Amino acid sequence: MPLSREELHRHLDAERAALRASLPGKAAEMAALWEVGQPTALAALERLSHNLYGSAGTFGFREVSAACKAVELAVRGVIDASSPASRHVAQEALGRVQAAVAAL
Amino acid sequence: MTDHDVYVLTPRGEEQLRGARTTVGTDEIDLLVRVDGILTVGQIRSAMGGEAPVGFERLISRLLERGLLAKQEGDPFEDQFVMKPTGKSLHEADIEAAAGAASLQKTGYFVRIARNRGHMPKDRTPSALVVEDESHLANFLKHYLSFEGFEVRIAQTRDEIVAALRSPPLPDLVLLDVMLPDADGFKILQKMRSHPVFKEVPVIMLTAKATREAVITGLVNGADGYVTKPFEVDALLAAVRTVMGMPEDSAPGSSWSSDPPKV
Repeated sequence: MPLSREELHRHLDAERAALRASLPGKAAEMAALWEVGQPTALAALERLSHNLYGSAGTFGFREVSAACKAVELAVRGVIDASSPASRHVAQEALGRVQAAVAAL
Repeated sequence: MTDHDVYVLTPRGEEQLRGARTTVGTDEIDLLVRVDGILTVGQIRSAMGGEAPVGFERLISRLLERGLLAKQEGDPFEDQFVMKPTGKSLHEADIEAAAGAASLQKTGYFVRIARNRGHMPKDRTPSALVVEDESHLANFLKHYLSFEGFEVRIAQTRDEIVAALRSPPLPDLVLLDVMLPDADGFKILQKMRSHPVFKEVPVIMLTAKATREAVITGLVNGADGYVTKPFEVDALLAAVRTVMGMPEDSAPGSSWSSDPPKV
């Protein structure tokens, strides 16, 4: 049976609140993966930032989403060793994620 | 025996089916012609609908006992991948991707209108399979599509995808993420498109991979639509409506007459 409009709003509000509540933990996880720095940790960081870019943006957390995109791209640069500046860019982008989450 | 079991005809079963002197009954013949080593028991029963004989399972057991059927071991779904994009299909996808790039930038989605596969079931609730490993987003999609009148299943891993595709009914729509924990959405799409049962199921890629190369890969492999994350609900629903061949201002559940609720 299809959801009513009220049920839909209730579910969407709950999902948005749940995602928001999870963001500090996810930002901490991203920082921890960066600290580990091994290839598997960087791959996990790339995946996590990629996922958060999509979900945070869709739920309206645009700053968090944009910062996660920056992390994803920079980490890909670190993995590919395509740019000497990637490490610094990634560090900055992780700081942006922390700041954006703290500002919510 | 479970609904997920897959069976193949033994040489004896082939002989009974195709030989001049068969000793099996009409019900058994009807079942033997449907057993192909790919469809599950559940899918065969579902495809037979009202024609499925009473004692369907007993019938299969009898054919097994007589050595006309054997259980298919391994994963036949895995073996379906034979996709080899041709130069022509790559060229066509490149042109389409170029044409769709503007649409992607402007609206966040691109629908391959020429590949409209749409057919909304009239006699039952439409079903959708959401392949998405981010649980909040998966639930978001589930709620929205439920609101639209779909019955929704979620799959987050490769095993869950295979299980969901094998559980009747066949989905009327698949929303498919690309970066999954243990699978690549493009490869899942390839396998679906080379599978006799799943090749016609409408698939919309729903992914944060928005590069031209990613879109080309999706189109070459047979995606019907491409929606980039983060997405606006309007864009996603527009893609769903176009791919499913629905009027722009309607939805399966006709749940709203003006704008959809926003997050």
